[in-house]
Amino acid sequence: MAQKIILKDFKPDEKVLTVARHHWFVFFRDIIGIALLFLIPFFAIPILSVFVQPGSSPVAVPNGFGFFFASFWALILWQMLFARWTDYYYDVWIITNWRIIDIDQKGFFHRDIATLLNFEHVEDVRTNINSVIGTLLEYGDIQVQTAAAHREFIFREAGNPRAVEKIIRRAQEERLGLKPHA
Amino acid sequence: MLSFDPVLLLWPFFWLGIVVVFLYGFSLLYHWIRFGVLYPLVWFALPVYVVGTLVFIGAMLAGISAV
Repeated sequence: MAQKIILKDFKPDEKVLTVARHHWFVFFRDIIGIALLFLIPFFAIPILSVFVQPGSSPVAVPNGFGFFFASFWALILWQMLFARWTDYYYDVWIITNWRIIDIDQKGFFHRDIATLLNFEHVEDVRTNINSVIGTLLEYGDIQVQTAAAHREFIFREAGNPRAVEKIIRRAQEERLGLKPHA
Repeated sequence: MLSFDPVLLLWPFFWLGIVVVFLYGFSLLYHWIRFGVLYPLVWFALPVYVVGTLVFIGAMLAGISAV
């Protein structure tokens, strides 16, 4: 989780406590989806060919067509794969000892950045793990309820949400001058 | 029997692929280069993406030349 990040508007004593990202399974799920999309033509074409009477095909498919279209399909999916990866990788929560920066990449050219400037505004931090795989692999949603203009910060399918929650609570306690509990 | 060159069927798909690559490639490279400071893995992803894209474009051309 530790990553050296320096933002332009860092305060002199500000340091990054953690960088929360989506769990790797979120991207793995996308990879599985894209891999299935890649395989669909290889299953669909033989199945469709069953319905064509032998020798009644209207055109003979020349050599190279299969290779061309497999490459074409792979090229398109290759682009989609990296687009998904960018979307996955660019969603982060940067938690410093001063604030939470929520960077939400929504496809291309839509980047939503919200900053919770003061931990005093944090009213509640919740984690929500609500699936079998989420429980097994330890990922879920982190929700920060605030009294600021941006009422709610939600980071969906974050890796190790309980650890992140603990870091947020500890940072808040330190900021408020409370004695952090173990 | 076909009365026309079957390769003519493939070129529109080839150029469609090039247009898709151009749109995605521009968007990806723009984001990676602009925000790469925050996201170090993009510097590993970039060459993998470029090489993969060139391989698949080359494979399409190989498919056309095999017809």
